[in-house]
Amino acid sequence: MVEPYSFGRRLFVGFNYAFLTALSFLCLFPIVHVLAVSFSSNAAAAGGFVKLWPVGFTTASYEYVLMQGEFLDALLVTLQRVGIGVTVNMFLTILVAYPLSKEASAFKSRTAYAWIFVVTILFNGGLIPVYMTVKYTGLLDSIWALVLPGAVPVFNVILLLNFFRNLPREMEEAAFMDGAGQWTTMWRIFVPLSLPALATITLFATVNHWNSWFDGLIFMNRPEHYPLQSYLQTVVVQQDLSDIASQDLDLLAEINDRTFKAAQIFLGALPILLVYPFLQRYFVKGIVLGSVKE
Amino acid sequence: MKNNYRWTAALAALLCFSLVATACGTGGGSKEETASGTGDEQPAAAEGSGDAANAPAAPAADADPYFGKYDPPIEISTVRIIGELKFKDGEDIDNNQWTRTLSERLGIKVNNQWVVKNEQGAEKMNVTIASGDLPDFFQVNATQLNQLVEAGQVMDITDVYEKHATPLVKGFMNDATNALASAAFDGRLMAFPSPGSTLDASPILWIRKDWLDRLGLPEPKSMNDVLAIAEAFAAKDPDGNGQNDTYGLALMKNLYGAYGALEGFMNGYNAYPQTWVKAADGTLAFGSVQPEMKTALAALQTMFKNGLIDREFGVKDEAKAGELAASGKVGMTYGAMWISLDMLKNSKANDPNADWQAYPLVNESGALANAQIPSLAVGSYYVVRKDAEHPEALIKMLNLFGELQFGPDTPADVWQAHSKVDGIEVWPYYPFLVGQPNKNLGIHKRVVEALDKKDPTGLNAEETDAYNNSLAVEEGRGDPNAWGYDKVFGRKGSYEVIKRYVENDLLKPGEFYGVNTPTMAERGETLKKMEIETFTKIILGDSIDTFDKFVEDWKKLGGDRMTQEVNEWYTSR
Repeated sequence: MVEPYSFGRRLFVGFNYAFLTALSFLCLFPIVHVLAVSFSSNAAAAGGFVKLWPVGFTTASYEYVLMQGEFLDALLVTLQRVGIGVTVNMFLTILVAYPLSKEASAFKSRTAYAWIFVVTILFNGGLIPVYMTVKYTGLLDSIWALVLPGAVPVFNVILLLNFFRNLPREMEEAAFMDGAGQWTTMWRIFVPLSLPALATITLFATVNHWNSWFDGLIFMNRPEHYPLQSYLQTVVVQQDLSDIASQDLDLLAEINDRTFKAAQIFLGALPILLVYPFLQRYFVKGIVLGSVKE
Repeated sequence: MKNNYRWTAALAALLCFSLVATACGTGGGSKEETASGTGDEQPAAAEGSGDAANAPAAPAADADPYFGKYDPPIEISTVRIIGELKFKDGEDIDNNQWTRTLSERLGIKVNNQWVVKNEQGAEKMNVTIASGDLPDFFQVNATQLNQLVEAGQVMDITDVYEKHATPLVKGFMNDATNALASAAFDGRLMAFPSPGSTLDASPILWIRKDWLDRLGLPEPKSMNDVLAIAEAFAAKDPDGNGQNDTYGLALMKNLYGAYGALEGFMNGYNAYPQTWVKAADGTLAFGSVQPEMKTALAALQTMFKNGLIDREFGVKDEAKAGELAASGKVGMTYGAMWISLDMLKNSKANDPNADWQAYPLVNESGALANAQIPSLAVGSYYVVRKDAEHPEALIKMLNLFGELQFGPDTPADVWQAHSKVDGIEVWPYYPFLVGQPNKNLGIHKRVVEALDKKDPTGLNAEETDAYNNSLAVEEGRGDPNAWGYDKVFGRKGSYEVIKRYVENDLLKPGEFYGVNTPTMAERGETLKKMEIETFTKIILGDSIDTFDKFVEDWKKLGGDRMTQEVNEWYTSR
């Protein structure tokens, strides 16, 4: 047992905090830099003068981004996608994880089902078959093409079913004893007790939907249907200047507009930065403490 | 109860598998469809005239092979790869000036199956090709064209082109270096090339004139002058801030490109990297492995050792390396004609005295050097699906674009309505573009004429823009953007340099313009990477004899086979 306030202990704690603070600043610097660039004049940004504070302060790039309908359209699509996608994901994850968390004695073919799901992690058809499936099911160019192909995140299912398994069996038995059926047990006992796990998985699903860009690109046939990240990909992606044989000089003049790119990157990341703190409160320990006497 | 479980389990499992099975089934089915579709067309193609087999029923269309209107109107499908487009309120890609003109003049309605932005065009196109779901007419890159021709998915348009293309369009095609030849397979035209300009890719030497003047240096006449200027820019404090913080020559990690590039520098030593040149014995050889490269690399190595080149160039891409120019730390770069609109413009914005000037390449003996340009500048090809109903419609649509954009008989207001309206570029709405290959050179010549006369009458909108920018700069009231344009099109712009290249016959296009040979496709990227790595190491101070080892490795790792393939192509042309 370490003395709580010995000199060595205090030294260690002091050092530890200093180290962790430095570490978090290291993570913050890039974001602050992007923010500073987005508020700077383009010439200053291109000259590399901008470090952590804007040079030649201007909000021109933000005005330009928000004036362009495309960014807002894409944001709307993404919000829609996250709303529908996360709801579908969570609902199906719970629905799949609950029966699979049961003992084999209670649910005979549990293992067979578990394998059917796990196989999809290891093997998938590849891009073209997936595209064909989406195409012939008539989902192309609709929001469902972004939601349904990944509707059951198997990895999250495994996380959740393990969490379910770790809940005390006695509670489940007590619930059945009091006359609850499977549905009631699931919604009234298992789900409320799994809030930390569900919060984590919700965060995973949200970030996943927010950040994916490739499917939007492949399944959407009109730029105005792109979700935000697919749209940003078209704007921000590093262009290989050596391949350009364009006669359109106006286009070339705007290729390296960093402030504009920085503004879009920041706006694209902002909502997800804002969501996280509100999920923090569900990461609680000791949720089943005292519910079971052993 | 237990039994129930088992049954539902079995049923659910069955459902799962049947879903998978149907997904495969539809995939297979579509393949069959395309296969049979192409099968139907085989006899027609064998007759060597897809046109005759697919002639539209409307006689009106035959009366005028160039602009015959379809009556009743037809619908064609395509897919679009677009840049940043802006639209007037209420207009979009499916409804604008061009779509209206198309249905009025030609009776054609275009259905866009999908629309995607430039960067991901190739990827999206690959998925479309792989899924066998091809539109009537579409735009592909050279690699995709090759695949499609091999798979027999596109139509031979030789006769359609001959019969329907206007003299104007044919003229453009013949002006574009190697464009038509690059789209021909076994002597048959399998695609319509959409040519860019090889001139636009000419290497230029950009130097800060204000630094030259401050240090009392003459304009460069030979490679020795270039080295001396670099020396002075690094050592003699050209910006006068009393600190030793400037470099002599810009350089970036990819070595070849638009800014901080080496093509122009190497050309000064009669070396031509990344291109196929004619060797003394009349065969084609790869420029990067010729002995002249060694001299150029040795010069660069010395420059680096003496601190004339940024120590960190090996980790900076063009945009990052461009910061040195923008912040006034470097005063000389080899690069493209348009960088005055990008890095150099920012340099002007940060320092109003900055005056970048374009100079022609010089060689060791004090004459103008040959400037290497690509063998062809075809960014993309328009192809016709094997069983498309109206192949000639593609050519007619191309004719229409050529006529309205470049036709001598097109009235100015009609031209304007289809080019640029209220500052919005309208011309890129059109799906099938044909370009005048050397347009920019023409703009430069006419702008200079107009500047001499102080009279812009007779210039089109694009030329007028350039004229106004140059005039503003000459009258001392131009912003950095106008300055950037003036440095391209103005009296002393980069196009003045390119004009000199053309007049003195200094341009050296690559000799190989075929589709990538098998070894190129397989090894080309790897070899290029190896080249850039080796050359970078040599510049950083590796022994210059590393070059000989590189040449050996290059030959062993596919270079020899590539050379053989290129020469086979050369003799069989």
